[in-house]
Amino acid sequence: MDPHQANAMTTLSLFAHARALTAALACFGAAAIVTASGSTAHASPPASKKDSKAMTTSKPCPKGNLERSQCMIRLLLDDVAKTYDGSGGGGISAIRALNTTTFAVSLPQEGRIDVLTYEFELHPDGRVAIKSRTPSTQNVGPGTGK
Amino acid sequence: MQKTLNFPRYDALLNTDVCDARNNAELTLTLRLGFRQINPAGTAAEGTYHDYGDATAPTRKIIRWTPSAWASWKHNFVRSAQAFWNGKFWLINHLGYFGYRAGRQIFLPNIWCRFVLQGSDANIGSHHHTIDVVRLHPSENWFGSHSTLYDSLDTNSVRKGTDSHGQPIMQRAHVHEVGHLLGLGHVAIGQPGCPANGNTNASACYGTNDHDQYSVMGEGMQLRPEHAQPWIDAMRQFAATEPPSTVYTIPAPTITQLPQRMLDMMFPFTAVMRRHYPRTPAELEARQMITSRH
Repeated sequence: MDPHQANAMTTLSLFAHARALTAALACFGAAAIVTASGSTAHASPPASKKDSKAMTTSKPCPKGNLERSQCMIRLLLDDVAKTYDGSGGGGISAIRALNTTTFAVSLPQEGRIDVLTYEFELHPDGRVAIKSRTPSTQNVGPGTGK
Repeated sequence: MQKTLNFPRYDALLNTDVCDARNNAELTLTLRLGFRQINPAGTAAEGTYHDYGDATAPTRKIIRWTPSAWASWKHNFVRSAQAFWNGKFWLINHLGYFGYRAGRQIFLPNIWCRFVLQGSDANIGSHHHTIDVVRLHPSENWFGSHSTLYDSLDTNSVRKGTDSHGQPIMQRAHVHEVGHLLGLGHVAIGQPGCPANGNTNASACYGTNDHDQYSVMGEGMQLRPEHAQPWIDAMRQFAATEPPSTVYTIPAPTITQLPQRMLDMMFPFTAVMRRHYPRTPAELEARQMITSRH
C-alpha cells in the first residue's frame, strides 16, 4: 500500500461511553476501532495489568500500512491500560493519526481532555515499537476547569 | 457591626455583634448560583448532548428534567456543598483587629469562616455564576462537564484517581467546583508539571503525590487550611476599610518582636481548622492560642 494511502486514513475516532472504556481497557478482545473509512480493526486479546509480559512496547508487524497502524494502536492501547490513571474519566474519545508513525489518544476528563501522543519507530525486521509517549492537556469550557 | 462587602465571586458579611468572651466574629461568604436546565430538543423526553457542550465532542444521552427531579437536584447540590464548606476554618487574628469589651475584659476575636450557598433558577434574581445542567439518561455514567456545565451525577461520589497504595481516591465533583467558584485553584499549581503561568488544568495540577491528590482541590475530599484563602482575602479587605478598634491597638513591637510583627503584617490572618477562642490582649501579645476556655 502506498504510504500516502495510510496518511489518507488520518483520523481514527473511537467514541466510547465510560462503560465502553472500561470494557475496552479491560477486554480489548471485545473492542473495535472504527476508522474514518468505515473499516473495522479489532483489537488484541485482553491484557492484564498484572501480566507484564502482555504489556509489550514493541511487536512484530506485517508490512502493510493497515496492519502496521493496527499494531501501533494495539501497542498504544496496551500502554494506556498500563500507564494511564484517569480513573474517573469518560474513556477514549478519539485515536487520531498525526502522521504515519504518530498517534494521539484523547481521554476526556471533567474540565479537560488528557491527550497522550505516541510516537512509534519501525525497525527493519518488521517490529514496531513505542518510541515516546508525551502527555498533554486540552482545556475545555471557560476559565478554570473542574 | 454587620458589614457587607461585595466581591465579584461572592458577597462577604462580617458580623462582630455575636462576639463575647467565647464567641468569635463571623465572616460569611455567600455564593449565589443560577442553575439553568439543559433539556432534549423540542419537547422530546430523551435526546443527546455533547461533552463540554462542544459539537465536536462525543454525545451522551440525556433526558428531560422534571420539576421534581430539578428541585431535588438543586436542593441536594446546595445542601451538600454548603455543608462541606461551612464552618470549617477559623482565622487567627494576629494583629488584634476588631477588639471589643465583654464585661470589663477586652477581647480580640478570631474569625469563624461560614459559607452560604444560594441556588435558584438562573432567570430568577442575580447570581455570581450561572451554571447549565444536563440530566443524564440512566444508561450513562459519565458526562464531560466543566466549570459552567454540570451534569446530574456531579453530586455523586466517584473515583477520580488512585493513590500510591492502589486505593481509589473518591470525590464529589460539585464541592471541588465550588472551590473554584470561590477562587481556589488546583492543588499542585506552581509545582513541577504544573507551572502557574502554564496550563493549570493539566493532570499534574491535580496532584502527583497522595497528599495533594487527596485534597479537595486535587482528586479527593480533604479540606486544608489553605482552602480558607477566600475568607482571608475578604478579611484583609475588612481590616483595610473598617475603622480601627476604639478599645485596643496592638503595642509597637520591641526589637526582638520586630521580625514576627513584620510577618504578621504580611499575613494578618492565618487559617486553622480547629476552634480558637477570642483572646485577651495579654494572650494575643504572648501569641497564645486558646483552644479551650472554661
